[in-house]
Amino acid sequence: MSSTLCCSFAKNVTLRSSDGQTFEVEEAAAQVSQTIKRMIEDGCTGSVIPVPNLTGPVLALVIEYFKKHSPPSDGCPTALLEMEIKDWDAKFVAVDNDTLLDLTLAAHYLEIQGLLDLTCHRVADILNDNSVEKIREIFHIKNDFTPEEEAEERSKIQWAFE
Amino acid sequence: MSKGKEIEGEEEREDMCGNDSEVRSKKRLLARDSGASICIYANSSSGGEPQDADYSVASLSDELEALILARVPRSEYWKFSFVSRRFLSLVKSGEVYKIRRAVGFKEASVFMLAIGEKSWWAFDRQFRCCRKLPILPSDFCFSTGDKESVCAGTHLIVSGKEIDGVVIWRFELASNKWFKGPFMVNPRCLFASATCGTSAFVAGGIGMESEERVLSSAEKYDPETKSWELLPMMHQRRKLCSGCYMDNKFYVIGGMDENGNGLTCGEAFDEQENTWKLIPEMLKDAPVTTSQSPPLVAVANNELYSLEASSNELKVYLKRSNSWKILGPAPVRADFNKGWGIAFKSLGDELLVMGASSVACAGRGMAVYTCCPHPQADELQWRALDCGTSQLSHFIWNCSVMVA
Repeated sequence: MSSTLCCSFAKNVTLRSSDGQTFEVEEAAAQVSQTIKRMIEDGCTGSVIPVPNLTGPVLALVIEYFKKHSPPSDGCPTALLEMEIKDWDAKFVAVDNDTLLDLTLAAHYLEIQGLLDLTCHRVADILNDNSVEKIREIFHIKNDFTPEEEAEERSKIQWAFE
Repeated sequence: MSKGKEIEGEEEREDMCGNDSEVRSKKRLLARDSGASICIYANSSSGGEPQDADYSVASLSDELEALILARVPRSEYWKFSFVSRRFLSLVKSGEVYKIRRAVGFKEASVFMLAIGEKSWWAFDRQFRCCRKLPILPSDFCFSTGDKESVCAGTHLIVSGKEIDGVVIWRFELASNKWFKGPFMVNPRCLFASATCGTSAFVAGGIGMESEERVLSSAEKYDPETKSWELLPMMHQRRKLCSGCYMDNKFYVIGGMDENGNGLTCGEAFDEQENTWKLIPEMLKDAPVTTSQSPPLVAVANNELYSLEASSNELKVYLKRSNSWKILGPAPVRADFNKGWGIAFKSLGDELLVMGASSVACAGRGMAVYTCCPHPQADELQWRALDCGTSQLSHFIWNCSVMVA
């Protein structure tokens, strides 16, 4: 099959996750991801695009996001539509912490700016509500301070919550 | 973040777009030793260096950690300093503030010094949390004397007099420390100042070099280079004047000339044109009394407001007619000390006023009010904020708003 031929009728692209699941999605929707957009421009249309950083369930979620955020075919989005999308976004990231982290990594890897802003905000809110120990636990961050260093850092900050 | 050995994995594409090996190399897939951490070289061309995009599952990269930390309220950064060395260095190096600017996330916070206090206090915008800054390590002369303050980026600049002359102390938010300098080109006191983005402007005042004289010079501070740069001279020498930033111009308003006469004119510096434009009679109706404070002015939503010290009334400046319209009384007693001891500041779209309350039941301590002003309003709705700091004196030496 020649590349010219496969590009001429390809409106859909197929994405394949790390665990081998494949998803068909409109090319315009998938181009919400700058990474996928570049792959398509590089001539991958018609073939299966591997997305090996994402498992099937995460890729399925990301595709939902693609569909909601694909550019409208009839021009400018209305204010009402924008509000609806905002509500949808808020619900979209109201997920468990591990899924949220997966989505954040996916947004970063696939260069989906809107999703990256959304997930980073959500993660920031969660961080804000938790203790230092809990933050480390949720986000798998290793405490690399020695106990002495930690005590010293804590003593340096003169916070006065009165 | 880099762990494990990179192993060349299988070719993933099933249906090739032709047999273009260059295209294929761009999609070259590298799998990690386990299914849990995989990476792909998405953009590597055959000739160029591959870009590692290594993200192990459910663990954030340094870049992502920084992007997230940039969106956390600044008042919580103390907590994040203890999470890991990486977080500590993000906060301490000031890198996180650069990212905040880049992603357009910023918050206002209020720095103030009340009479009788050794420490400056910092409040978040809602006045829900506050903290004492480390004690400013100046001499006695500085700590008891008159000071001026202005914020630029993440620096709080405090100018005052030590035994050896005028000095600048700056508080750096990132390192949570005070540093001396940098000194202005023309050291001065009782000057006008305003913040514009990450820069600060100062103008006029009393020059303290060899002999004391009233200045017409102006300077701009850049926290990146930690340096002051001279601007063109104002039209008018003035001291005890006030500054604000509106319509992309640095306004200097009122004050007194070298003979101690009250000035009703203002002037505006246009950075693009690098010139000052005199605005005659800008304060023509404002009563002038001896030993009064510089005009209490603040900008909200690009409109100029003033708090009249003699009457405690708030006024809005009508740009077209170069006149003022009264918007009713503000809930503070600016008249107690001829305008001194009152903080009247901009919080972007809101006005902030702090000092002695005019409300009988408000107690004797510092009161804090905000309002969302509208030039067309007849009277404004002031909101009292309970900041739990009524032990602070109602007389405020200095107050500056930092947006970072």
